[in-house]
Order: sequence, then C-alpha cells, then structure tokens
Amino acid sequence: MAEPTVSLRAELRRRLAEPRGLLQLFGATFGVALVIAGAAATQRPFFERYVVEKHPATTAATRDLAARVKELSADELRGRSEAEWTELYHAYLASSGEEVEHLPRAFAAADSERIARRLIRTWHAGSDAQRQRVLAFLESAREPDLSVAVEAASRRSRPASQELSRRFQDLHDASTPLGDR
Amino acid sequence: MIGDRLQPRAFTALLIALLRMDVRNLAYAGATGVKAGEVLPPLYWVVGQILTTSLLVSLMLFGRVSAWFFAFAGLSTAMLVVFSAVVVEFNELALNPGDSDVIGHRPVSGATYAAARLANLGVYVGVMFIATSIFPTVLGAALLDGGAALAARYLFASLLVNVGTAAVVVLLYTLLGAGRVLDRARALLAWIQILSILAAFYGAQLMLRDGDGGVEMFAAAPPDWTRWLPTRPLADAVAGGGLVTLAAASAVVATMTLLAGFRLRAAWSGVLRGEHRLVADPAPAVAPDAKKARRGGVDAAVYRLTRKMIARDAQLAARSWPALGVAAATLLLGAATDQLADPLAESGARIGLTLAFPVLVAAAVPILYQNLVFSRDHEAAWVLLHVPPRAVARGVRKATLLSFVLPCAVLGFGVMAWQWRSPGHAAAVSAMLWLLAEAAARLSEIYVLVVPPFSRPPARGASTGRASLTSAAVTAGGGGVAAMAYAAGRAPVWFVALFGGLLAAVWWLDRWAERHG
Repeated sequence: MAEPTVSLRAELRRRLAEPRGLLQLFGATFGVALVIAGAAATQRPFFERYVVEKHPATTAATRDLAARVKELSADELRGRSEAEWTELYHAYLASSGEEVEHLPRAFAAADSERIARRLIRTWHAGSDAQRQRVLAFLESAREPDLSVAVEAASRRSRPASQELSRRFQDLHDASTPLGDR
Repeated sequence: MIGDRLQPRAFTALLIALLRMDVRNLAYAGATGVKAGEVLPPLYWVVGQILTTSLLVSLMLFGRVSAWFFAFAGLSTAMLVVFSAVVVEFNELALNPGDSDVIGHRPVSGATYAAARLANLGVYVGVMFIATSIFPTVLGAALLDGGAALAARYLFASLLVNVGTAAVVVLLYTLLGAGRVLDRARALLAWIQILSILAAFYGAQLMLRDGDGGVEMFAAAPPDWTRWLPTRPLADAVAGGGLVTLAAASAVVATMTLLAGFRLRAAWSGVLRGEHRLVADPAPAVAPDAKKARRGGVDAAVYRLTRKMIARDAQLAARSWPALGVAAATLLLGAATDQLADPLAESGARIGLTLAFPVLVAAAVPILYQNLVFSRDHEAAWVLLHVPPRAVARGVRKATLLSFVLPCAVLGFGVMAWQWRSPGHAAAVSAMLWLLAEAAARLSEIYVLVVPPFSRPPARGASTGRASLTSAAVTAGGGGVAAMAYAAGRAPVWFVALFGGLLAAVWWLDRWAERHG
C-alpha cells in the first residue's frame, strides 16, 4: 500500500491537532464500533452454534455396554469406572433410540448426585439439542430430587428457548410439592 | 489581583492545552509502540486497545452465558482497564506538580485552573466510559434474557464503574498516600490493555477447544471470591432490575466523587502556589556502596547491578514482564476454566495446560535476556566490558531467574497447590519449570547475550530480535519434555527419570556455556 503523501500527512496532523479533528477521529471510531456491535448483535444464532458439549461418537462397545446396563444392579452400576459412566452418558446425549432409554432410571437409581453433576454441566454448556436430552433424561428418570437439583443449578445459566423453559417448568412443578412452590 | 473567579477564555485555552497533552501523552508509548509526533496520537491507540478488549470479551461470552454474567464480566473488565488508564495518566489528567512552572506566573485564577483540570479529567473518563460500554451494552441488549431495559441499566452501571474507579484512584493518590506505590506500578499498568487482549484472545481459543464447558460452568457458579468485587452487586442490579442497588451505588459513587473533588481542589491550590509535590523522588543511584560491591565477588556484584537495574528501570520491567504474559494467562485461565489438572494424578487433555505453563515460562527467558541488552543508561555499560564474560553471564542469570522466573514459579506453585490440594505435585511441576528455565538461561547466554547487558540504547522493534530463534529452540525442547511428561501419564518413576534427564541437560549446557566463554 502506498504511503500517504507528505502533504496529506501534514494535513492530517494539522487537523488532529485541533479539538474538532480529535472529536471527529474519536467520533468516527466509536461510530464504527457501534456498527460492528450492531452487526454482531443480529448474529446471536451464529455464536450459539458454538455452545456445545463435545463428546466422541458412540462406539459399538459403548452400545454393548448400554445394553448390559439392564442386567446390572444399582450397586454394580455405581461400581463402574468414571470413564464408563462418561461413555454411557455421552451415548445417551447422542442418541434418542430405544437402546439408551433405560439409562436415566438406572443412573438415577445407582448414583443420582453423580449424574446430577453431569446433567448440570450439560445444561450450562450444551447445545439446545443436548438440553432437550437433559429434559428427556429427567422426564424418564422420574426422580424429583434430580429435577429439583438441575433446575436450581440452571438459574444462572444462559436462558433456554421458550419451549425448553416451559418443559422445564412443567417438570419442576411436577417434582415440587405444592407447599414448596 | 485576579481573584478566584472563573475566567472563560483562560478556561477554554487551558482545557484545550490539557486535552492536547492528554492525547499526545507518552505514558503509553511503550505499550502502544507509538511516538508523540505520529499522525494518530498515542491516546487513540489506547482507546483502540480498550475497544478491542471489550469486543473480544463481549463476543467470547455472547450467547454463551446469562445476562448476569455478561454484565459482570463487562463491568469488571471496565473497572480493570479504567483503573490502569487513570493511574498511568494521572499526572497528565488530574494533578501535575509541573503545572506551577508553566502557569504559576500567569494570571490564571484557582477556580479557572481547577475547572479546566476537572473538565479534562471528565472528558477522559467520558472517553473511557464510551469505549468500555459500546460492545457490552449493544450485545447485552441482544441476549435472549437481555433487552432494552437491561441495556439502559448496564449503561448506567458502567457510568458508575467508570466514575467510581477514577474517584478511587484520585483518593488513593490524594487521601491514602498511595502515590509512590502507584507511580512505581505505572509502567506495568500501561500493559494492562495488551495483557487483557492477550488473555481474551487466548481465552477465547481455549474456550472453543474446551469440550467440558469450563467457562459456562464458571459463569453459572462463580467462585466465592468474586463476591468481594464491587461489580458483582452491580451485575445483580443490571440483570435483576435492582433499582435500589443502583440508587445506593449512585450515592456511594457521588460521595466518593465529591470527596475526590475536594481533595483535588486542595491539591490544585497547592500546585498553583508551587507547594505541592506529588511525584516520587528520583530513582536511587545504581552504584551500590563500595563495601557492598566487594561482597561475594564479581558474580555477586553483577547480580546486584542487574537486580538494581531491573528494579529502577521501569521501561525495562515493562518490556520484560509481557514476555511472561502468555504463560501467566495460560496458568490463570487453566485454573479458572478447570483445565489445570494434576499430571501426577490424571492423564489426558486436561493436563495439557499444566505442562504448557513451564514451557511458556522457559520460552520467555531468551526474550528476557534480549531485553536486558537495552538500557537508557547504556553509556555506563563500559564498566561491564572489564568483567570476565562468564562472571557477567552468571550474575545476569541469577538476577533474571530470581527477578522474573521465581515469581512465576511461586505463582504456579500457589495456584496448582490450591487447585490440586497437593503441594508435593505442585512442587514437582514448579521444579520442572525451574530446570527448563535454567537450561533456557544457559542457551540464552550463548546465543542472545553476545554483547554486555545494558550496553545498547532501547530500539523500537528490538524486543525480540535474535532471541526469537533461541526461544523457538527452547519451545521445541521444552515441548519435547512436556510431551514425555504427558506420555508418562501418572507414573512417578517416569517423572523421576525426566528430572534426571533435565538435570543432565542443564549440566551439559552449563559446560557448553563455560567453554563458549
């Protein structure tokens, strides 16, 4: 890019030595910032697309493990490693098929605190689709304490869409005794 | 007799002169890389840096966190950058004892001088207010739980933060006598914007790569220490519509501003009478006393000289500390986003930042050496030409490691010990950092410190120079060590072997440096 000529530079310097020139410079800069802010503000869906809890694709071994959970007692499932819980939970998030529909009740019966921590994390850091799976989990688990814990933790999270909020509220109302509401 | 009434023409002339001095002020020259004579004034770049920080923080959190945390982050960032900006430019903005030499003999009334100074400070705080508010206000309004009312409350809260922070700085200077401490910190505070941009830039990248939602978890349940920040109740009021809180905060800020105004008025009267002296005493002389100089031999004398130069030359410190900024940002962001796992207790991606921290500190060592070559007192460096080069190298190494690397190692140890509840494991990582830094220092003695320290005048664009290649070599070597530690995966025996290898490498580099002379 060509350097500005000496006369242009001198003219700019002269202008910027005056209060009016400085006012114009700062005014124009803030104006551009306002335009950038306005343009970004219209693109919220673009930014929300990057809010997602990442997890690896479900493998055949995980599907087998999910199938075997049906045969495990609550104590046996509780004794499984953290890595296996993570795999199973991610499999539930990724799929809405029958092969994982028994997992919520099994997890809640085995260790509801442990699974609550995962559900809360997904509610905070997950995409809308993943949040729907959290709600589906709570609906399937039918464990009032779990729903109340996740709802309480979600109050300072980014807001959910209207439909998700309504479902969450229904679930919360169903889980909370009338006197506590 | 001019009395104490406001003189409109003198006020206008004085205000324009003060504003010109503000925009051409060179307090930020080191951090912005511009000179007074350039077409765009230095203050313009400062405002640009503040806008960039604000933009990065706002975009990073947009659509990802609640309106409450969005407001909390925006207000806290504003508080930080405004505090640093007002401290850095305090003499030009609010109180310059040198004014008495320039206008003391002119027919300017105290009221005129005070009004011009106050208006000057007001314009500056106004510019900062706009620069820190545009992005969070507009983007906050577009959040799902945002809206126009939230934007209006945010704008008001941001005004309170900007004015309140400026008032706090004035009170620190004029009421609590913290001027000397703040003056010493001024050169470092000038880099706050750059460090904020780095932290936001790298933080955004880490956030996008983090599949565990560390930032979202932090935003939903901030740690307890954030309750001590004044921006937290303000964020509560912005998000929750707490008009009572905003009214109470307004009363507090108005009281502080009035008090600051009274203190400044008294100080300005003193300036006009030539009585007020706020600037720190001149820096202490470099030369230690003769008895002290003889103690410990030549190495120790060079060490003391280097420590003294680092302590007294604020520009040198300001050039050097940013080299460690990325390492510090990595450590603190790792801790804040729960990605600073213990490599002796866990394996996998969560130990990546833990192992990157020592490597980044070591990679900064050649840059620190490069900066030590330059000094505004370069003409006095002839004395070092008469000292054996190895004694110089040993003294400089000790001073560099103790002045710059030790604080990083202590900070790293503290953060990791607190996070892991395991001081032993934290000490192991800090020891790895120290050994890597020792190796980097010896390599820098060979390839970077090819002329005596402090022997060259500061030159623009020379802050990395020939250190880049050495820094790249240290990064590659340190990266290899980190990769081995990563692969060692919770096995203490491998860590012991790794430390053995590092000790051998330091010994071999030491021999090489001694032979190199």
